[in-house]
Amino acid sequence: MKNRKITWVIALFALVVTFSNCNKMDLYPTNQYTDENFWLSASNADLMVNMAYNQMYSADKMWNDEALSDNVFEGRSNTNQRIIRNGNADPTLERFKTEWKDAYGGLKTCHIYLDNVDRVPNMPDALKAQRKAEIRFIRAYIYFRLVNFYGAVPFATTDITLEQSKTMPRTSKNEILSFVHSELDEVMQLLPSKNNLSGLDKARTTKAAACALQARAYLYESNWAKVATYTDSLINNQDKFGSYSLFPSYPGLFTVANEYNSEVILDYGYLINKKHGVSIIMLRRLLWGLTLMLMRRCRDL
Amino acid sequence: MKCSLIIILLTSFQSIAFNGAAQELISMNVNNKSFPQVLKSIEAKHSYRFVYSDSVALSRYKVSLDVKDAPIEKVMGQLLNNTGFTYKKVNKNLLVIMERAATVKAQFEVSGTVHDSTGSPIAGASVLERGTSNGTVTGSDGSFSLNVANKSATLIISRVGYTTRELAITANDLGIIVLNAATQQLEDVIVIGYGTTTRKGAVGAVDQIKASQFEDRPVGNVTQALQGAAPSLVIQQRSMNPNGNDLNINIRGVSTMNNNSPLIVIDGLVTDGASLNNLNPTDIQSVSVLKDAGTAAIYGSRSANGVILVTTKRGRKNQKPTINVSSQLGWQDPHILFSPVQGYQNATLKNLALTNIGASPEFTPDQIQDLYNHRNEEQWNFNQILEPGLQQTYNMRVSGGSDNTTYLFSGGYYNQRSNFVGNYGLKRYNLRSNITTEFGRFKFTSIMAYTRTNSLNTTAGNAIINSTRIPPYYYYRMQADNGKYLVNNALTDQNPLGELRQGGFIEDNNDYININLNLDVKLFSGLKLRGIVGADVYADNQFSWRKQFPLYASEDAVTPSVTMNPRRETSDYNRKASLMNYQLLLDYNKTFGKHNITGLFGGSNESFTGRHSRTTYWNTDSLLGIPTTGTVVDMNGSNLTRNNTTQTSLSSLFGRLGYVFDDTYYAEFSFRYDGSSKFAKANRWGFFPSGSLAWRLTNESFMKSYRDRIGDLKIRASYGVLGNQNISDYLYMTRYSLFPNSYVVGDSSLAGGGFVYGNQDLRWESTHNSNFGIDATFFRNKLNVSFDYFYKVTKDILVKPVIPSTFGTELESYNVGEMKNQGWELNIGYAFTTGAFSHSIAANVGDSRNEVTKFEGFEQISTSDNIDKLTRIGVPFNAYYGLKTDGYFQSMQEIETSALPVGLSSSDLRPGDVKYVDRNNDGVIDAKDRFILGYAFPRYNFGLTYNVAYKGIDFSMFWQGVGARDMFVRGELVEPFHENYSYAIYQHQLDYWTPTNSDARWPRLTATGSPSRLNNYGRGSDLFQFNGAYARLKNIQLGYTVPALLTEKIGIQKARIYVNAQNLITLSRESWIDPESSEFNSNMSGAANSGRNYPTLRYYGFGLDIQF
Repeated sequence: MKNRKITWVIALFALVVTFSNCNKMDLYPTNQYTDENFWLSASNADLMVNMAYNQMYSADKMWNDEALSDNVFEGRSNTNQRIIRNGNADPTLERFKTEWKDAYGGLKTCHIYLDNVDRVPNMPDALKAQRKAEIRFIRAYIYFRLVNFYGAVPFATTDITLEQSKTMPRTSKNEILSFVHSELDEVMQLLPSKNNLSGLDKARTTKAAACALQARAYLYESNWAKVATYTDSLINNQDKFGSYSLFPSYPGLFTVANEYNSEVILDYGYLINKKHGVSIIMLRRLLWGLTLMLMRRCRDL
Repeated sequence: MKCSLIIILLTSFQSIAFNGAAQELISMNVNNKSFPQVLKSIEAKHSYRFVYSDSVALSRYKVSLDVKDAPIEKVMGQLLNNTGFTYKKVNKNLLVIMERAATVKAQFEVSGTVHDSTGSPIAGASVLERGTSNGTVTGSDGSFSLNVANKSATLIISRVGYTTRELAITANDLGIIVLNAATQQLEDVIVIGYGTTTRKGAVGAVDQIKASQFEDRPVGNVTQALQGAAPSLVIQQRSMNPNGNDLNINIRGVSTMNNNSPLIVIDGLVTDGASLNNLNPTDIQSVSVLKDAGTAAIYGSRSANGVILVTTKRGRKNQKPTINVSSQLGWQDPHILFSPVQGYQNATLKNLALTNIGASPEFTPDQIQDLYNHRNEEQWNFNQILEPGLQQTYNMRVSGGSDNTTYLFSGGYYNQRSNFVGNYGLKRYNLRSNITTEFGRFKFTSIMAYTRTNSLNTTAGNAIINSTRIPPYYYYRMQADNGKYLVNNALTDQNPLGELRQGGFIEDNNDYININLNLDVKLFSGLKLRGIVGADVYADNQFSWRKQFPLYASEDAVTPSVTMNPRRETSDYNRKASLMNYQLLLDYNKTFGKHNITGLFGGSNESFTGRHSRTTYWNTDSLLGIPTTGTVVDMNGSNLTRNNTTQTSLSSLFGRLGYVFDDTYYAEFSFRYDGSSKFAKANRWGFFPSGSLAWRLTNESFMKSYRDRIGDLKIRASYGVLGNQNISDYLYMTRYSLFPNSYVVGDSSLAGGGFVYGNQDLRWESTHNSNFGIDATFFRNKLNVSFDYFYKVTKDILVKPVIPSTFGTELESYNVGEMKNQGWELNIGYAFTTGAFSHSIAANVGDSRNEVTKFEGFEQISTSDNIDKLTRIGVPFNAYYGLKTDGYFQSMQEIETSALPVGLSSSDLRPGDVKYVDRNNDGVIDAKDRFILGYAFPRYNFGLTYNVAYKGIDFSMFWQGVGARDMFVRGELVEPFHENYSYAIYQHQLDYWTPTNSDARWPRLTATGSPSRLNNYGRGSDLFQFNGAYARLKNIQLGYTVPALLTEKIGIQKARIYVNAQNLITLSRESWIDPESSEFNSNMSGAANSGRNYPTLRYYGFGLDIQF
């Protein structure tokens, strides 16, 4: 009797607590997708591809890479770049950490995409194949940058767990470079030619970009024969790789008017920054160097 | 026989006891119980209160009673039949029980008036002839008259809340007798979670702060008012800016690596921490600080950092309408702690700094002579942007009550002007209505409060920095005689004075509504059901406008050299938020003979929904601030409510079971079972139990003589598990965010998708909390002492872990940390009388010390401006970390033979440069030579209040301080001619090293860009560390209460005027910095402190309290 009374009281309270909730216990953010609903559309998946492009390179990286040389000197403060150049850097230097972190952040995006894109319903196979190839190009690019800075690094081709990240050994630079080469060879076949891209797709990576990066990767290994092979192939098979030619004016390469000109193989876009009410054109294009100039030099070798 | 007097008067408006209908009838059936026990049972259930002598004679009687719906007269008749005692009904509910014979014996009549220390009459005080039961009670004017046996009799005068006084009869008219407010009386009602108890019956560690401790202090908000009031409550006021009070609140120090804020509960409703400062301090009746698991566990998941319970004032039953009007007026005077040297001296020393490093001097002798000649025209820019600020407070309160209804209405206005020039400041308007009404079995309480806060703040965020670092050269003026704002070669692109006067403003306009509806139903004897609905509604608006204005190179310049705020940015921010609160409680309280059982069972849900949005335009109309030709929307500064919506829900079941035997043995168990929307289903619910035991030794018969001669003694202990869920929402879910402008194609920018790793395993932090305490009174309750020791271990601390960046993303929070935290608190209250002076002293001191016991990755070092902070196992959280200095080099030979920082050779340095300790003796100074240098969390926090009253005059002072704290300060105030803005040296820096001043405080003067500079200031070291201990006279007050005889003629019951001042004296080791300033917030996170803070404010003012 008494027990039943107690049960009744508890039930009553549980009921009140349950029904008086203004908010439910399972709440979802209003400004973010969750894993349950993000991979339901191809346009969402493309957002991850855009992020991968963002993480591949940046305007800051261009300036900061130049500042490691005598091309750029920043006067005001004692930047990480200046400390490195002066030989005063020690392992606590911030840039050593951020380069590493940025690279693995980009790799995470690539792997999350590759691991999940097949969940997207109704995505045309051709589109999926092209996007996967773009992501693999970006991944190859990031690994290439990473091994050039650090040599042997932890290496994976799918997303890693937190536990794995704590125990992953380093893989030799050679092994990673051979992965980069084989990836670039494969995606070279899968990526579109520049001639078939228009509109917003112009900023996407192409067969030619993969070929040029392959040439550059071999260049860094002093594998001259391969460099010549790939650059020749790019120059001589323009029906396959797309039509490229030298642009007559070197400074003209960087102006707004000559966006996506015939010399550009892949470039990093930059938007006019409206600052202080006056339009200051900062630097419209930051060309990251995969230009025909490279091919011309290599051919001359 | 000594006769100690016990008064059992529970202040009715705080009591949760059910109060019946107007004519209370008594039903009771007891058999052979002691007389006091029966009276207590009546008091527990009814509003009747009894005053009687605790003589053996009365306690001895065993009585039986069997009545049903009987009037009190009948009950008393039955009880006192054949006892030799009689009773007197003083008012409707108050009965005095006395010996029948005593009234007959009386021969000598004495009279007097009982007042409190402020001169107000005390009504209802009991006056008793010692050794007898002969007594009376004072009337509403505090007066009494009593017939006593003979002239040598002694009177015992007492009243709840006051220290009992014994008085020898000296004349027929004893005049005014002053009773001191007791600091911590045993019968004081103490508010605890979902109920009340008394100081005597408190089983856990709880501090109660009474309104009298902060009333009449010119505080800006409740948090300021609470500083120093309780030993465990550490409040740091990091900035005195009325538009941005940075206040840290910690209870018992730091126990976790994330949120350490206590839970705030106002009138029984859990609320947002910010609501505390929306309250009008004068509306507060009391504040309880729940410290240990025993008291806090009923709040379960969020109580690990302690709980602050605020109770607002209510009206009293059967009280005629009382009107209180009070007002305060004063000036906040900015007090700058550091000052520049004269211009010519600054220039000379700048030259010395330059020549010291082999560079050429900046100033020619003629220029220095010129500065010297104009030294009387110098003005320091910082002085130019400050002015005294007027502070005004006006409050009015009407309260009263009838037989079954009480009411209180109050309104308040607070206005503190900013000390920056240009009409900035803060205004707060408060309205409140607290009403209770009873009908039959029901009691309905309605609390409604409205707060409007209007703040007008400057957009000149760098005004202090930019005005302090410019030397006072006479030609560095901010404004020309013709009104133009000027730039100069030191401050080339900003002007603090111009920005304050013309640069626009940030205007906040915030509404806060608090509704609290409460219905009690008396189910049957001792059992009540209570339902509560509460709502906190916030509606905030902020309009900010950065106005364009020109700066000129000189008075005669025609075209501006700089245009300030060229974007002409206007921004509108709107926020709405609501916190809904539902509670259903069953409350049980019953006494069976010597056994008292209390029970509580309840369920609640708290749902929070907040949303805000911001719109920002550039190039708006320069006079109206609205869109016009050329206006663009700043996408980065604009967002929608969908971008900023948060929802949380917390559902709970909780309960408490208490058992008391004969007021001697106490046991209490409480629990809370909380479910939070912040965790995944599997880890959502947490169970938080606690248990407490207490033993009042002095109630034991073997302690009787101790109790009679010395006082009360109680020991108590508690253990429990408390929780913390104060982390961001949705962390357990893997989420994808949109980032506009991630990748650019042609003229288009594309959004990117960001990945946020969700950790399904997130769960509650749990704090295992042990407490041991002693409460004791001495000199028959004149001196109260309570001491607590606590030991807390927090497990599964939700902390952002250090993980390999190889993982590719960061984790926001993870249950990976563990900390312990231990400390103690001491509270002392003493009240005594010397002649016509009555004194009271309240002192408190507390300490806590934490230590990280588990941390993923062993340690983490965070750096800001060369100042390193360390989190490492075995060390307090976020300790200062850096090199240790070993004085200054005194000779070249010493430099050549000492370890030097990496990259520096002995030829780079000179005597007078800093020498460091080579900790690992490897011949170089590098990161491996760092020591743990100090701890920034304040230790030995103390507060000291002294009150003295003489007739109508009262005086009080309040000191607050910190016994030990280390503080790091960076920037100009430590480093003369600081990097980047290398202009100034201040007076406190003049003790620098020279060959003839070799035991100097500071290193030799050097200019920027030199290896010496890099050596001296380029690395975090104890050169930047200072002693942050202090004692501050927070408040001093002198008041006068006009004699009631005069004021009553014009219908005023009480009139008091006073003058007061704040922050008059600060005792600290470093004169040039406010010791309360700190880079750390209450969670011990923050970047670096440059000491260029809002000036310390000294307040001078006066006030008036009138009661009609």
